[in-house]
Parts: sequence; C-alpha cells; structure tokens
Amino acid sequence: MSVPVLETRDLAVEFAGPEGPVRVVDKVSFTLDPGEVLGLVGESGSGKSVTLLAVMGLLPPTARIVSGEVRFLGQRIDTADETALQRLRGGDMAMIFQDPMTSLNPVLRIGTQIAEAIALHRPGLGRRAIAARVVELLGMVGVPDPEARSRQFPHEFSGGMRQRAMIAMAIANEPKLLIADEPTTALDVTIQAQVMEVLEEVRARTGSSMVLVTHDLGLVAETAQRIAVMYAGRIAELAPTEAIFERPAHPYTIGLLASLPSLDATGEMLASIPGQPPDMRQRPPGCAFHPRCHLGRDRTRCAGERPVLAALGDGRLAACHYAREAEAGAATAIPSGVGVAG
Amino acid sequence: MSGGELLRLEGLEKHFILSRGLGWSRRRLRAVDNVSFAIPAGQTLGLVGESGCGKSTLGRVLVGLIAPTGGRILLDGQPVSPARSQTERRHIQMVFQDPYASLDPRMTIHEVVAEPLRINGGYTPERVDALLAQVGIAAEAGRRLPAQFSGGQRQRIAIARALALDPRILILDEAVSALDVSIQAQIVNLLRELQRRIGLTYLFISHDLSVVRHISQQVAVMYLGRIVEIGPCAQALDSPAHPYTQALLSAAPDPRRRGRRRIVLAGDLPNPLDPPSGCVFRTRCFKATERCAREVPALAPLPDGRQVACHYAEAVDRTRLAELLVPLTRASQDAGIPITKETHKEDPK
Amino acid sequence: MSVQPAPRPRWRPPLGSWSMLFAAVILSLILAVIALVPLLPGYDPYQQDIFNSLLRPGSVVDGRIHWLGTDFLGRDLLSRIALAGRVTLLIGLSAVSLSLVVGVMLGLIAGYFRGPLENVIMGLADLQLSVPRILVVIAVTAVLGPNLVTLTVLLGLTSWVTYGRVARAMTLSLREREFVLSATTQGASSAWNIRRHILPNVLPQMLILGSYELGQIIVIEAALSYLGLGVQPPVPSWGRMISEGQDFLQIEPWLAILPGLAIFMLVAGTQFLSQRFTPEGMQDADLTALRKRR
Repeated sequence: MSVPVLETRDLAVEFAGPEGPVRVVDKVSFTLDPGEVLGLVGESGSGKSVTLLAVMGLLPPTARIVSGEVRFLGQRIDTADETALQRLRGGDMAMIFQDPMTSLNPVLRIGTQIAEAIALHRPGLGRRAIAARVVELLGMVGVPDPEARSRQFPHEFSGGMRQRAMIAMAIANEPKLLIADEPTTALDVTIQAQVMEVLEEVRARTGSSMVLVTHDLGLVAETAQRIAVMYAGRIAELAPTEAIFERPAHPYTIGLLASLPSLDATGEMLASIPGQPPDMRQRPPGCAFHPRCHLGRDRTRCAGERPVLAALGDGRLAACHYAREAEAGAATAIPSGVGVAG
Repeated sequence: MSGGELLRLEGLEKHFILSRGLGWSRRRLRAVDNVSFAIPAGQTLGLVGESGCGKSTLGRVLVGLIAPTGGRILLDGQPVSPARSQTERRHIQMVFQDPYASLDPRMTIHEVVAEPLRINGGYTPERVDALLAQVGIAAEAGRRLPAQFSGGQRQRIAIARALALDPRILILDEAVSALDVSIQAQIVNLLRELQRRIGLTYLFISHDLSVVRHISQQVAVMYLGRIVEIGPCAQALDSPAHPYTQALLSAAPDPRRRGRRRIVLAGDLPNPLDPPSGCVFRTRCFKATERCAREVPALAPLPDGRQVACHYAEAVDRTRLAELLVPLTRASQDAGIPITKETHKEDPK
Repeated sequence: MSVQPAPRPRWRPPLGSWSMLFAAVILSLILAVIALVPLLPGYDPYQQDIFNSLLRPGSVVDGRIHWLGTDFLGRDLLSRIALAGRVTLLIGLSAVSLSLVVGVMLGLIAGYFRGPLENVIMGLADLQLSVPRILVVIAVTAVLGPNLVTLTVLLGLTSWVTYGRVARAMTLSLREREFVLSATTQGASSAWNIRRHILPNVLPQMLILGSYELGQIIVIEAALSYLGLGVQPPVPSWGRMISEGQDFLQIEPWLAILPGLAIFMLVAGTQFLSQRFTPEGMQDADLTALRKRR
C-alpha cells in the first residue's frame, strides 16, 4: 500500500472566544490517496474550511490545533516550522481559493504573479524558462492568447478567467496535493462548468491528489471519488461517492440529500432538516446532530454517547449509533432516487 | 385564488446611459430590454439567468426602486403609475438575497418587522407578533438583534417584514440562494405554504434551476437583458428549446446525474455595452450560423405554446441533452478550437 | 429534545472587558477631579503665593496640603488642573459637537441626495482642507481678538471636514444597503431613511471620530494658548499649563507632566469607551441591557 498523500488523525482545532475556547474541528480523521479526489462537504460553519486551514498551517492567530496530527506524504506537518511549511505551500501543496479577485494581487500582472510562484520554488530557473512556462501554463488552463494575456492585470480578466489563472498558478510546480476551497462558488453555472473541466484536465495531467471543499453536493458528485460529510466540526460520514448518494448511512447525509431540490421531483414539499445547525459554543452532547435527527431525537444513547466514525464495509464509514437503521430508511426518505446515476 | 392575471409587463425596458471619458461617447446599456410576461394570481413565475443578465434590475424596476425607461407594468389590468401611489407600493413587495444585509443591524427584530407598519400606519405589537408567528419566529425573539439569528431565521424575518403590508405580489430576488441546502429547503417550503394560505403571487428570481422548478409554474430565462425562453416549467425546463436554456440545464451540477457529460459553453458573457449583432447569444452558442449574426430572433411561440427567441429552436428532452450536444462541443475542442474565446469578437464562423 | 447543559459562563470583568474597565476608571477619575476639586473649600486656583512656588506634590503650607504641589506663582496645581479641565472640556466638547453636527449634516446630505449639492459640499471640504486650520484660527483671532467663544466656534467650524467625508462615504454605501432599499419599497421617505437607518448607523463612527478629534482640539487649543491666541491668563487651560510648565521641565517636570496626564486620561478614556459603540463593542457589552434602555 502506498503512503497516503495527506492524512489527518483526530485533528482538533479550537478558536479563542470571549467565553473560552470553542472547538470548531473535532477529531477529524481522513486519508487521501495518490491521485484521489476527496470531497469535503458541509454547510457553513461545519468546520470544513478550518480543517483545510489547519492542514495547510494557515490557521489565524486566534486558532490552534489542540490535538491530533497531520501528515503529508508520511511526514508530520502540523508540528513543522514555518519555513518548512512555506517550502511546501505553493510547491508540493497548492491551494485554490474561492475568490480569485482577492487571491490575486490587483497591481501585479497575471504573468508576473505566476512567474513569482515558479521562481519561489525553483530558484535555479532562468527568466526565459520561467516566462515560457507561464505561457505554457496559461495555455494549459484554456486562457486564449496566453502570451498577451499574461501581461494583463487581474481586473482585465473575467471571473472565470481569473480562476483559470489561479489554477495555473496552483499547478505551476506540479503539486502532489491540490487544495481547492469552494473554487467555483463565486462563478455562474456555465463558467463553473468550464472551470471544473479545466481543473479536472490539469489534475489528470499532473496526477495531483485533491481535496475539494464545497457546500455543493452536485459539484463533488461529479468530481470526487470519496466524500466526507462534515457536521458541527466532525465527520458524519465518509464513503465512496457512489455509496454516499446510493446508500447514505448517516441521518444528516440523508437529510441533506433529501432537501436538495431536484429538477425531476416537483410539486410536493421539499424534505427539510428541522431546526438550525448548532452554535459551536453550545454543541449538543452526544451526537451533535441528535436534536435535529428523526432517529436520534428521542433516544438517550444519541444524547449521551458520542458516536465514533465506524466502518460499515466497502470503505464506508459513518458516525451514527443507528447507521444500519438509517441506511435502511434512506430509500424512503429521499425522493426521486438520488441514487440513479444519469 | 388563482385564475385571473395579476401582474403583466408590456415591453418593459430599462436602459442605462453611460458616458465615458469626457462625456462624448454615450453608450447604452440595455439592462432590461423589451420584456413582456404575465403572472396569474396565486402563481409563481421563475426568472432565471446568470449574473448580469438583468434579472435583478427587472425585480427592482417592478418594486419601484428603479424607474423603467419604457414599457408598462399592469397590476390587475391597471397601469402602475411611474410615481407609485402608496397602495401600488404596498401591493408589490420584495425579499432580498442577503439576509445579512437586508435587516438593519441596529434594530430589534420587532422593530424591523414593525417598520413598514409604522411608515404606513397600522402598527400594533400584536400585529408584529402575528407576522413573526406566521414565519415561525417566536414573539419573544422580537427583542433580539439580527446578529443573534442564523441566515435562515433572518430570511424568515425578512419575509415577515415583506408581508407586513399585505402585498399581493412578492418579488423574491435570490431569496434562498445564500442559504445552506437544509435551510434553503425550509424557506422554500415556507414560501409555498404562505402562497397556499394567503394566495400570494411570486416572481422568483434565481440562478438555481432546481429550486425554480420546485416553486414555479412558469419560467422565464434571461440572457443579456432579454427573455430567450418563457413557458410552463414542464415545457421550458423539462424539454428546453433555446440553446442557452439547454446549456444552463446541462451545466448545473446535479448529484442525481453523476457521470453525465455536460454542455460546456464557450467563452464569457459578452460586454453588455457592446452586445453582439443579431442574436446576443450567438457568440457562445453551439448552434450559431451566419443568420444569427444578421437577424435578431424574435420571441415566438412553438407549437406547444411556450415562446423561444431562437432561429433554430428545437425542444429536446432534458435527459437527452448530453447525448445530443456533448459530442458537438467535444468535437470542436478536439479539433483544437479552444474551449473559451475572447469575449465577443466580430463574426465567428 | 435534550437540553444542553449551558456552558459555564466565563467570568467577565464589569463592562465586558478589561480595556473598557480601565477606560471607565481613568475617565471617571479625571472627571471627578474636574467636577469635585473646585468645590473643596480653601483652595483658590488663582491665589498666588510667591514664597511657596514650585512646591513638590504633597507639600503642606499653613496646614493645607498641596496634593500636586504648586506652580511657579505658588498657585495650587490640583485646583488649577481641575479648573483648566473645565475650560478645556468646555472648549473641546463645544467645538467637537459643533463640527460633528455640521459635518454629519453636510455629509448625510451629500451622500444621500448626491447631485450638484454633493459637488458643492465636497468642493467646500477640499477648499477647507487646502488651508491649514491653525492659520485660519490665527488670522481670525488676530482680527477679532482672542476670546473663548470665537475660539470655540472657529475650532468647530474648521474641523467638520473629517466628519463630513466619513459620513458621506458611509451614507453612500448605506443607502444602497438592502435594509434601506427595503424600507424605500415600503414607502419610507428620505427623511425616514436618514433618521431611522442612516443616522443611527453613521453616528457611532462619528462619536469615535469625535473622541479622536477631542484630543486634536485640546492639542490645538494648547498650541494657540502657547501663542497667546487661546485662553487668556490668568484663566488656566491644560494646554497653557503644559506650555508654562515647559520652562521648568528640567527642575520640576510634574508641572508639564501632570496636565499632560490629565489630557491623556480624558482622551484615552473617551476613545476606549467609544469603542463600545462599534458593532463589535455592542457584541461584547450586554446586549439585552443596552436594548432595554430604548
């Protein structure tokens, strides 16, 4: 078995709050194999973005990793010093953020910014070689007339083009790991389709693994091999993509899928999860989802005992005491056969 | 409740005149261009399109925030005066996209909902409590500030506020787009329930076709200020006829259709200040011919009644979109044609 | 539904945070001095006693303690600081209120109604900024002669630009905010929107600006007094006291330091406390208590 590209074990992150520390990521464990795409899905405040920041060593000063470990190609990186992390970031580990407008420097030419990303990690490379590489990269991500456009500034690029430029920058040093945080959320669907296509192409070419963080189930369904569904800072379910959609085993996943509006099912009311996601300062005891859960609402075990992420076979993991029961009931809970692959 | 037509737009347009440089070259931005449709009382029309297509401007014109530059708005068959009377204002209300921006952060929830009643008269604490109860917010919560509520709860409050004046039409401008899926479903259900209970009429502006399909009877698709396809959802969304509608439907990610191939449209939205000649969609269209550059396609009915603005309109079942069209774009890509183009260059052939 | 055991609320210092508490303490201290010391019997801020000049703090003369010592004319420093505080506060607060009212009004009008009015107001602001404020004050006082009212009005009228610009910028963005648009669609007039939505959201920022400006004004007043154009002797002001104390900085530094400390306590206290009125500060403070006052 090969060494996973990325591995977190029992990762926990706390933020300092006025009423004491708030745990926003709680015992998160997952692995990412070479060439694999893992979708990290959750609603706002589920801890998915903080998990990523912790992995990259980019937590804000008010947050810290309180336990657990992060390994990149087998090496601990949560304890690594800043210099080592800097060498890693933009080199073997590259990021694509949600808003390309704020992640590109508005006063530098696109080409210059990509060139800097290359030069930082390959100091030996000559100017000409770098310039040629910049044009090659922009062409690779489908920016037309790459030579001319590399001399333009970010504001001269459309949103989709900026995100392409970000992708070019991210793959500049052929990273082993791509971390994409809501890469297409700010874009329109037709542009999103373009960008995801480009991302898939370049990923296939560089063989990078990718963690794709998103709230959009549709997006991960088409891109990821495995999906981790997060709720209230914990992984609720982690399973191969097909299984998540066809045999979901956590009531939260089931509720999420059921509440997705569909082009096929119309007329009836949407199934919805009652209540609101919990305030992280007052996470319900036991299973964090139990107050909203149709199975766990009235069960003392759910209110008292925190479920661990347990194997259900076929690489499926769910953190639910009653996963089997949930799985059996899923078919009736979700309208119009989410599982039917198109 | 339903039946008669409540709202009708006739050739509505909003053009912005922008002057550049020293003010010599004045250019016309057709944000909303010759838009006509009608919504029967108690029904919902979904208005879809991507950012910059003019759907939000249209919503703001309807609610009176922006004055139209042409066309008419008829409410119950009566033209709405440009300077709205108080009753005309009351009848058309709006719910905005961002529940974090649409409530004054310094007002308590009670005050937020009471404000329209204070402006127009008729405020009683009981009325406010009843409005809050209607959207599932406890009256006791009224003493708190918006910051203490989640996005979904704030959107409920925004709806309560919009309902305060007993409107007949609600313009919902991306009203559920900023919400998480599970919360979005709650709000969509609430809107449907309210519609059934008080016979509200909705104009549901959204970029999300699935949500639109769920809540609307009719749908209008906008591109660059114009309606390109309009008709019952069962027609326009289940067997779209305009290439743009087809591309939108195909591009929307959907976990129920994993592994399908998508139509990937070429290029970006053209510069609205300098739209392409003929059909405005032709620069990104996989069906475009020379004729499209010459002739503006009129919004014309298909045999089934829905209207489409395309010379080559042809209804295709949604589930068969990919098989029909993907080979086409793939072929052009494989032939070395870049999958993107510069925004609008003259005469693509 | 199980009820979550409420997390043990962490103990918080009064007023929500340590910086607020500190600010409140120093501010009340200096205000107490200003308010109460002049009421004490037996201390006259004007009474000179040349034989007991430049006494150290705590010195006792004829059974009376000079808590902060005496100045170069033998006047009791504590009572002079208190009296000067009244003068300084009077000038500072009046000037700040005047400029705040003028600035906010012009800024709101410019930002909300736009159009030619905005150009006129902002042109005026640019014009004002191009002339140094101190020069204007010097020129006008030279003509009209130094007096407290002229000084206050001048200081007020020459410092509205900061408020005006910030208020305009905030109004420009606020008027496009959805809660204002929403009120407009529900029939709210411009006056309603300004009074109910724009002003309450602009004002806290303005008060914070005002507390910074108060410091500025006190410093300018000190400079003018130093030049003989401000408060006229024998009336004390903190600025005058500092400039008087300068001559003795080598031998009796407290003469300049103590009025300086008084300025610090007043300005720092107000500035810290004004933070409480920012949205973040509102979160910190007990919201419900604050709301009940309405």
